[in-house]
Amino acid sequence: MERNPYVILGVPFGSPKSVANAAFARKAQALKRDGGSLDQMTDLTWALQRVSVAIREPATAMELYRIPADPEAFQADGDGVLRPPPERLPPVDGDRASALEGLRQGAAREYLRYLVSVRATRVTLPPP
Amino acid sequence: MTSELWCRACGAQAQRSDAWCSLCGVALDRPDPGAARVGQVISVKGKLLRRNGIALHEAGGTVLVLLKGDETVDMPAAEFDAAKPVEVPGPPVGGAAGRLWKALRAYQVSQLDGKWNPQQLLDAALVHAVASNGTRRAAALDALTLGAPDLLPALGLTAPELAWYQARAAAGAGDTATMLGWLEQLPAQGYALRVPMLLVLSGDLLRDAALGARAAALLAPFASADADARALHAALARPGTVDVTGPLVPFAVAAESADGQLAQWAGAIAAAERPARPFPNGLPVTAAFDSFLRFRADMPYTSTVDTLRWLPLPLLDEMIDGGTVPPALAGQPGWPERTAAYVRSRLDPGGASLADLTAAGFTAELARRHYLSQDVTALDALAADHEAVRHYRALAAWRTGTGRPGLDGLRPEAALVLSQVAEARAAVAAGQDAALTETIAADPTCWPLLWQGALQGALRLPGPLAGRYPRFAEWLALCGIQRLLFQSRWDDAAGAGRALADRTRTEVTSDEALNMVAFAEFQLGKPATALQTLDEALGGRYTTGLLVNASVVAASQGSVAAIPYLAKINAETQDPAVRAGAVERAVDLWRQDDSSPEYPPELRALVRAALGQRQADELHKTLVLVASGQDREWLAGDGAVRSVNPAQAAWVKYQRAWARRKTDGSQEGLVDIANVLVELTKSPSAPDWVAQELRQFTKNLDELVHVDFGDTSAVVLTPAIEALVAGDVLELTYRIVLAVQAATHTAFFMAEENGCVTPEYEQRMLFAAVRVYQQRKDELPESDRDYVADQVAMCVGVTGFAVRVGVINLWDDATQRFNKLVERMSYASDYVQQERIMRQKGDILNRELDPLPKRLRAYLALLAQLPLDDRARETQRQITDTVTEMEAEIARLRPSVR
Repeated sequence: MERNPYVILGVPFGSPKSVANAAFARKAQALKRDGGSLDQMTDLTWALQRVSVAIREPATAMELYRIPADPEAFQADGDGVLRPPPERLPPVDGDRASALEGLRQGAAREYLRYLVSVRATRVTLPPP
Repeated sequence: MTSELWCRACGAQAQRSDAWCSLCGVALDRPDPGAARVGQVISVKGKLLRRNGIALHEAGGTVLVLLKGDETVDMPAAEFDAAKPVEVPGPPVGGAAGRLWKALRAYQVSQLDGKWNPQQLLDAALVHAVASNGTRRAAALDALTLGAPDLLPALGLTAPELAWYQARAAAGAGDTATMLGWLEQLPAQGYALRVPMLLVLSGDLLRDAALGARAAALLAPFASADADARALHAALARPGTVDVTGPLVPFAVAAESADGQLAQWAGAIAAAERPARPFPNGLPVTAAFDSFLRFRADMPYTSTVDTLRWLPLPLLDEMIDGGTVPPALAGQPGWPERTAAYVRSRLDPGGASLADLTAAGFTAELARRHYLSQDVTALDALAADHEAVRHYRALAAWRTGTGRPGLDGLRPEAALVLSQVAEARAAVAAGQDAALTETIAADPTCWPLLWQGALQGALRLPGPLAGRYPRFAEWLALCGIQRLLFQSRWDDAAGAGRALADRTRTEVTSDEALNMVAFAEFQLGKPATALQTLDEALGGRYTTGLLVNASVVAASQGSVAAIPYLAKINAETQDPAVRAGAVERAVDLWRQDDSSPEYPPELRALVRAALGQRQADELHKTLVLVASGQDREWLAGDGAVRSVNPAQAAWVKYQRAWARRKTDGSQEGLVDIANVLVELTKSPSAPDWVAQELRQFTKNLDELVHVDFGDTSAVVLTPAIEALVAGDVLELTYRIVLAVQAATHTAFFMAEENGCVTPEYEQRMLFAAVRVYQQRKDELPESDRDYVADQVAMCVGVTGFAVRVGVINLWDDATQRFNKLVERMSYASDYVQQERIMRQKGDILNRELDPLPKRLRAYLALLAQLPLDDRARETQRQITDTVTEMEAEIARLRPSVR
């Protein structure tokens, strides 16, 4: 039988020390209340020591069975209040009619300059 | 339009009937070229030679031709016309004065032959130039053509008229800035022909705003009466200062091409309507205008940054809000710098950078980003009175679980969800069951907040909701299976997990359920079944965690079963630390696995692959050692091993040397190892292991070399010993003992082969070692002193014995050759041959025989200083006898040679 410190503590694989400590306290209290055995307490202490000290980098720990194997399984996809979608930036205030007229004027000037360049090809220098 | 008749003196328009300007009184004459023959050059026949003559004047059918100096001749016009004309180099001119000036210039620079008095030409040119207003004007134009504005003042024309001619000359040369300079000297209201002149050069004026502004000022007085002037003025004026739509259509008509399209486009812009045909290319603002009109008309439009960048923000906002601008454009370059951040924030708020969000003042999205990245400091730095900041701060407390999360500051929709979560959690905390609501079921982001309750089995999801939200139901089921595992209820967990895996349509849920089933089976003592379950989960998409679990279960059946899973982790995972962890685990498993003595091929491949990648020092060392021991041929050959620092490189070099030595199966390779050790020991950054390896290597050599002299297994060690001695890396005891041992074995071997060690070798290995011993014996550890003394004495004795044998061999060989020469001498018939034989005998005696007793005497000298045993003393006596005999023989032979 595999002795798995995370399973003994009742926390997901890779849980941080703080979570392990809280779980240990909860379990130890329950053992005391329910009259648990010394072996159970020893197991619990061993598990806390392993999680708190021995396993420095859970991601690289290859000797331990992982529950969950995929943390995503417990983190459902999708947006919600705790994973909100991007905010929307409201548009700037502005007079759209004036803006359109400004755009028309810009287009008129640009087009007029275009016409000047067309006309210039058909004009010659005046006689002296 | 400008009348053709106008005053060149003041620029005023004139009536067709006028001969004089009504404003300034100057004659309205057009430029007059004057007498047609004047200034022409002809070839004139002289007494001996032909010479060039030039016409100075003509009148009454006679032409006055200047021949030489001041010499002239009157020539009938018909004769002049019949004479051979001479071409005058230079630009084309039109008037009499112009031709004289042109000829004079060519003559002065030797481009035209002649022997004229230049003053004659100048005087005649002036006379013709000022003959009338028309000739003055023609002369002015010619002077400018010839690039001689210095001639202009003498013509008596007005300053504006001269400025006009110079403006035109500059325009003809394409010099727009100079042209503007002369035009600016004209009367503001005069010279209306400036308009077409400016139009011709409008390309420069449109490109260069400064030139354009100067031209606009010159055009302004004519804009009201001349359509070209009005259009050009509007086109060149600063935007917003002149009406540009008014002249648009009339000017388009004037510039119109055959298809009439120009006017249609002008009309569309004037009326703010879409044109029937797209606007011409190369007009980005017009294209933006067209795009917007099309957007408003629900028509397809050009949505590129190059076009949309010209839209005023209110219009671009309208299009963005209309959902027709692709968010992908946000990341493309080309947006104006002043609006780029805003546009990116509007178009793709999730993709905009923090810098963009800050520049756009987009506090709400900044707050969201800081919330998601859990950057509390940055979130706290935002304005506290902003609604979004308050919301995300409140939300952060829920997410991190720190403090007591509340509802203050939350947006209403979030407050609704989280208040129901709070109620459920409160019920669980009170030891009650909590009925879950649809609001919670619909928001997967808040489920983890209820994980503890789910783990306790205190959450109840009403049946209808379970049907509508199957994903939530599955999540609760996963938590339930986890609870069973944590309670060590393996059978229940396996059953529940299998049931969930069978009914779910979500692979991630199925895989996790099977993962927990496998753990339960493993705990129940069924590793094969557990591995089968995990292999089932590994079908399709899978995680590294699943592979790790498979390797854990497989390892219970031996390392060979586990290694493939670890190899897969190494091959498929991006994180180098995880990859390294997998390799390390595989190596550890195999090393601890007594049931698998053979090096598994998959581990071989894994180690080889890992050695090709960057590894931490400790793992690198382990892997190289494994390869050196188990994969020698690969390491000894060209196996690619990556080293990221000198220490790693040194280790590879050393182990590669061992691998090669072991691959060869010969002791000769030891010298390579010795050389590597010497090199590494002497390196300024020698790793710690080098000293340890050197010590062990030396110790091994010492054990191997202490065999009976004559045992050839020791002889092959001597190159390695020589390398260590030469490198001076050995401890003193080994320095002396190994050297004398090596020398002795070699001398013994050579003597047995009827040879002898060279004097250089015995000096380097034996005599040098004895000198070191004699000079440094007090530095030897107390415990080693007797041992080293015995070794030195013994080796000197044995080497002396062996060298004596070798020397006798050499002696015998040399004396045989000497005796043959003596024999040949008796047959030598002439003096020359006798001389040659005498010389050869001398060479043998002096170069070969004479040094031999001296070599042996050196051994006697050494032995005399060492404590000798009986055997050594016997050797000493034998050497003495040999030396005595040899020296006596040499003395006997000496007289017979030169």
